[in-house]
Formats: sequence, C-alpha cells, structure tokens
Amino acid sequence: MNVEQSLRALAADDATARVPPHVDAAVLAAWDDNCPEHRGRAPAARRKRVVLGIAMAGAFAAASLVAVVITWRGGNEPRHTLGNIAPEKSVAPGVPEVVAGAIAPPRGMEQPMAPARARRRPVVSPATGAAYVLVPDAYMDAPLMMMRVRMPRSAFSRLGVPIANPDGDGMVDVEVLVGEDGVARSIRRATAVGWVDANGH
Amino acid sequence: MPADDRSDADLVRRAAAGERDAFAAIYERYRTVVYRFARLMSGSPATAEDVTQEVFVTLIRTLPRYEPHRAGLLTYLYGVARNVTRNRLRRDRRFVALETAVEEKPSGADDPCAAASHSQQLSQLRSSVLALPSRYREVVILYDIHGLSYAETAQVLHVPVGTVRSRLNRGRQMIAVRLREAESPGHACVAARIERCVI
Repeated sequence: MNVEQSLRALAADDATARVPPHVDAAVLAAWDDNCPEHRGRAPAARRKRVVLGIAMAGAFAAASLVAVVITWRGGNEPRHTLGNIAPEKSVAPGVPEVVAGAIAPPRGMEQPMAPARARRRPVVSPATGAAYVLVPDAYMDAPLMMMRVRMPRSAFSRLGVPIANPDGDGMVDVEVLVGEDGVARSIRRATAVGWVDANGH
Repeated sequence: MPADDRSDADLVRRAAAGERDAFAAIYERYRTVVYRFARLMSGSPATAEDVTQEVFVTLIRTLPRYEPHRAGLLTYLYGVARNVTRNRLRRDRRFVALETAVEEKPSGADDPCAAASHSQQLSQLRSSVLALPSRYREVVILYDIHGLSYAETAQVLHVPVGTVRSRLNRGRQMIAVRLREAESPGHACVAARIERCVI
C-alpha cells in the first residue's frame, strides 16, 4: 500500500470522529455568555449606568450644597415656619377666614414672637382684596417665594376657578408665588402635602 | 436533523446580529472538521476538544469583524484552528506527555487478525503524520486527509500553490520513509518485544 492509499484509509477512519457532547455544550454556553448582540449592548448599558451614576452624584452634590446653604442661612436668620404664623383676620369683609389660620398651631403652642425684622404683616391680594397669606419680613428679601397654604374652595370660586373636588373640609391646597412686594404673582392647586406645625408634627 | 441549506454568509450575518440558531447551525456544520483537523495536528483528542472550543469562541468574538468577501468561513475556521493548534503545541512543548492509550474502536471485520493489522497500520500512519514538521503536516492533513484543493490549502496556509505542492511532496516522502522504517524487521522485532511485555 503506497502512501496516498494509506492516507485515504486514514481519512476514512478519521471521518468517523465525532465531537464529544460536552464540547458542544461548552461552545453554546460561550455563545450565551459572549454573543455579539450582548457584547454590543454591554458598552451602551455601561455608558448608561455611568451617565446615570454621574447624574445621581451631581444631584446628590447639588442637594448637599443646597442643604448646607439653607442650614447656614437658618443659623444667621430667625427661623420661621408656617406654623408659627398666627392667623390673621381677613382684610376684605365677606371673605372667608384667611388660609394661614388653617395651619396655625394649636392654642398654647405658639412660638415666641419673632424679632422685629420678621414682623408679620398681611398681604392683600389686589385681585380679590383678600388677605390670604402672611409673609414674614425675613422672607421678603427673596424676590419670589413659594408659599403653600390651604384656601377655602369659595375663595377660588370668587376668582372664577371652581374646584370640583376639594378635601372633605372644603379646603384646597394651593401654592402661591409671592413677590418681594408681597403681591401674589401666581397661584396653583397643589397636591396634598404634609403640613408641619411649630412642633414639627 | 434536516440539512441547513442557508449559506455561510447568511448564517454569519444572522449570528452577528445575535441569532443563536444561526450560530448553532454554523457550529453544527463545521465542528467536526475543526475537531478532526485539530486531532490530527495534535495527536490528542483532549487537545482537539480544547482547540475546537477555542476556535468557536474566537469566532463568536470576531463575528462582527468577519468579512466574508476576504475568505470563506471554512477557510477562516481552518486558519483559526491552525493558529490555535500551533500556539497550543508550542505551549505544551514544555511538558512531557504521558503515554495515552490510543482510542481503539471495535472493528466490524470478520477477521480479527486483519482488523488488528489494519488498526496497527493506521496507528503507524498517525504516528508518521504526527512526526512531520508542522509545515508539512498541515499540508498533508488539509490536502490528503481533508480533501481540500491546492488552492484552498494555499489560501488556508497563506502560501502559494507551488509551495503547497512542494510541501505535500516532501511530506509524503517523509511519511513513506517512516512507514518503511516501521515495516523493517528490526522495528517489528522491537514492537513484538514490547507487545510481549505488555501482555
């Protein structure tokens, strides 16, 4: 038998060789772990996670900065909360009780009077003539300030904005942007918020 | 299992897009070829298994970069298998292999003596092929055993066709010399003595 015939015999014998099943399983498992589609998505997903992480870190840093500033300002200025604002009587006759009264602290829990600089004064809405919020002087330094108050539904009705679904007591939570001059710039209905009284409750 | 008549290019495109079935079809089509090539090149079924796995893992990683117009998939896989096998053999050169039992398949021949003789011839032939320098061995395996053409062999090995012819001729000569040595009386005597020791 010459070499070529021998090699043909070897080829025929070799043709019966089969790949063991565990190799098949290993290769397909490797596909599941490393398939091009997954690898194509992986960098994008990583980038997304990195961007999200950076955004969260930035937001955390900004929040920390704001907290530090607020804390610093709170240490230099008298502290006022909506809870230590005593109720005022409405300026315009016939207008329901001022909203600030709805968040007044219980009797006997009033805070001592703030310094003169933070003296309270009523703010009269030029539109309705109703005093609906009180802005301490200390807050008047800011050009605009957001106040959250509760108003009777009827006050809105007078403004031509009927509220269909007030709370059970007929009051409506609103957010009011008050300018430096004490004039309300805008008002909108707010979702229910947790009101904090003078004791932090 | 029905034969998959999809083209290699189509399968590669689909596999690159993440279709597991397409990759499984590629693997099904070429796994045996790669395994056989690696087994003949290394002489070790265990090494051939590792090489087969590594070749297809390499394919998974390089699928997006594979360009069908540059080389057919089979040629590409042969090329990867060749490189992986050579690297593996180069790495394993530091180790001394233990004598492993040759896989003896039960023969269906009626004459046990003829079957034993045939098996012994194949074993000698495998040893002769394995003893060739790799540049001759791979040519003999690709052309004589796997049945590739001169051009295909040249493409896999990145050499001119003339080089394939000359290496093939040289490799066959070397095998013939080894087979003659194996059939010489002195070698047979040694083999017979070893067989008696084994028994």
